[in-house]
Amino acid sequence: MDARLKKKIFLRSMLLQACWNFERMQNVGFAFAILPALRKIWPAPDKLKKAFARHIASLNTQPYMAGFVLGMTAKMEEDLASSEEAVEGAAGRIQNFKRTVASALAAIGDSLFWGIMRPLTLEISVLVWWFSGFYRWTMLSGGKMIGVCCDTARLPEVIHGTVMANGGQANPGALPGQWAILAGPVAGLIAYNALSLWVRWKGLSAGYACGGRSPDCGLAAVDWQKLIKASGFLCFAAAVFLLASSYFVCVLPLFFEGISAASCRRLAMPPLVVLLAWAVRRAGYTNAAAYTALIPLSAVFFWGAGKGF
Amino acid sequence: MSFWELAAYCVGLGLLELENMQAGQFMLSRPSVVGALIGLLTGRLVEGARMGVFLELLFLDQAPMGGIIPPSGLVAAGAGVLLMAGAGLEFSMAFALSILLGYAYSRLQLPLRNMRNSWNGKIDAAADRGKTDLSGWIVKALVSETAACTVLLLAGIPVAATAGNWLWNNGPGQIRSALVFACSTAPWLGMAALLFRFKPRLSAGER
Repeated sequence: MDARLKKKIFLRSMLLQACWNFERMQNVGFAFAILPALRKIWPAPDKLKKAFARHIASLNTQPYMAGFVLGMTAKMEEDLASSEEAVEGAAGRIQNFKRTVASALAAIGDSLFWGIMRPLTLEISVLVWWFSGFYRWTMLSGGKMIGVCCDTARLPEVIHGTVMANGGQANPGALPGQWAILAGPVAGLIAYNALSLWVRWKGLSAGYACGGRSPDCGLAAVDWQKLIKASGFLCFAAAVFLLASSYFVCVLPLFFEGISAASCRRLAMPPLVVLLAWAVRRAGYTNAAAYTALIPLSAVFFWGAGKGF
Repeated sequence: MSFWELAAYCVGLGLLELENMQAGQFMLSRPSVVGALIGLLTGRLVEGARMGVFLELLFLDQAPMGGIIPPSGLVAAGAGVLLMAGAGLEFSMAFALSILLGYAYSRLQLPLRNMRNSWNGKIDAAADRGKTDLSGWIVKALVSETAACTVLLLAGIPVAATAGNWLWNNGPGQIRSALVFACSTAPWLGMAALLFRFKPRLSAGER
C-alpha cells in the first residue's frame, strides 16, 4: 500500500459510521473506506463489483480500531488478486477473517476508548482546571453555598494564604481567566486524540503488515492489556484525587466558620452522595437515573421539612 | 437571543453532532467541549464549562458500545447553555431540561438508523449495476442527521425555555430547591461512579 492510498483510506475511515444502521451496521462506511484500495487492486469492473459486494456486507467494530481491519482486508484482497486460489473460497475466508478480527478489536477498543480514555481525558480537563486555580468547579455559582458544596467564598484565601503560600500574599480568589477554563477541555481533547489518531494510523500499517496471516492479526501490534491497565490505574488515581481534593476544599473553610447544623449537613452530604453512587452502581442504574430520582425525592424531603435547601 | 441567533447556534450544533458519531469522532462534540464553546460564544463561559463537565460526568456510564444509543451529550450541553444564556433560565433548571433534550435526541436516532436500514437494498441493487460510488449515500446520511438535530434543538429549546421559566416562577419552592440540590450532586455522583468503576478493575488485575 503506497503512502497516498494509505492517506486516502485513513481519511475515508473517518466516515466509517456515517451510515450506521441496525441491519448491517458499519457496512457502508467500511466499503467507502476500502473502495480506493479495491479500485486499485481490481481494475476490471466485474471483479471490482464482486469485491465491493464482499465489503458491503454487515460489519461492526470500534471506529478507532477500524484501521487494523481496513489494512488487513486491503492486503488480503491484494493477495487474492495475485494468487491462483479459487476466488469464491478465498472471498469467504476474507469475510470470516474480517468479522472475527473486527469483533476482537471492538472489544478492546470499547474497553480502552469508551471505557477508559473518555473518563480519563475528562479527568485531565478537570485536573487542568484545578491546577490553574479553578477549584470551585463543582459549585453551581461562585460565592454563596448552593447544594452539596459549602460556602467557598473564603476558600482561595485559605488555599493560597494558608496552604499554598503565594509569596506571602493571600489571593483574592477571582476565577481564573477564560483561557485557563478553556485549557481544561482543550487538554482533554489533545490527550484523547493523540492516542486515538495514533491507533487509527498505526492500525492501517499493522493490519496491512499482518494481512490475515495470523489469527491475532493486528492485535499484537500494541500491548493492549498493558495500555488498558495503565490508563485504568491513571483514571482511578485521578478520580481519587478529584474526589478527595474537592471534598477538602469544601470542608476546610468549615473549620473557620464553627460547627453548626448547616455545616454538619454540608460535611455529610458528599460522602452520602458517594454512597448513593455506590448503591446506584450496585443496582445497575445509571448516574442520570440517580440524578432524576433525586429531584422528586428531595422535593418530598423539602416539602416535609417545610423549607428549601 | 433572537430567533436567527438561536437558529445559527442550532445549525452549528447540528453540524457538530455529526462528529459525535458519524464523522471523525475527535470528541469535539463531547459535552465538556461544547459547553465551554457555547459558553464562550454566549458570554457564559464559566457556567457553560461547568454545565458541560457536569453533563459529561453524569453521562459517562452510558457509552455507545454495540447498538447502544446513549443520550446526546452535545444536544444536552448545547441546549443547556443556550437555555441559560439565551432564555435566562437558572443553571439547575437548564441542566434538568438539557438532560431531557439529550435523551429526546437519542430516541430520534432510532428512526434515523431504521431509515438507513432501507438503504442497504438500494445500495446492493446499485452495486449489481456496477455503481460502487457511496458518496451520495454518505452525504444523505450526514444531511439527514444534521437536519434532525437542528430541528429538534430549534423546536425543543423554545418549548423547554417556556416550560422551565413557568415552572421556576410559578412552581412550588420545593421543586426549585430539589432541582438545585440534585444538580449540585451531579459532579459528585460522576466522580464517585468513576472511583467505583475503576476500583474492581485494579483489584482483578484485568482489562
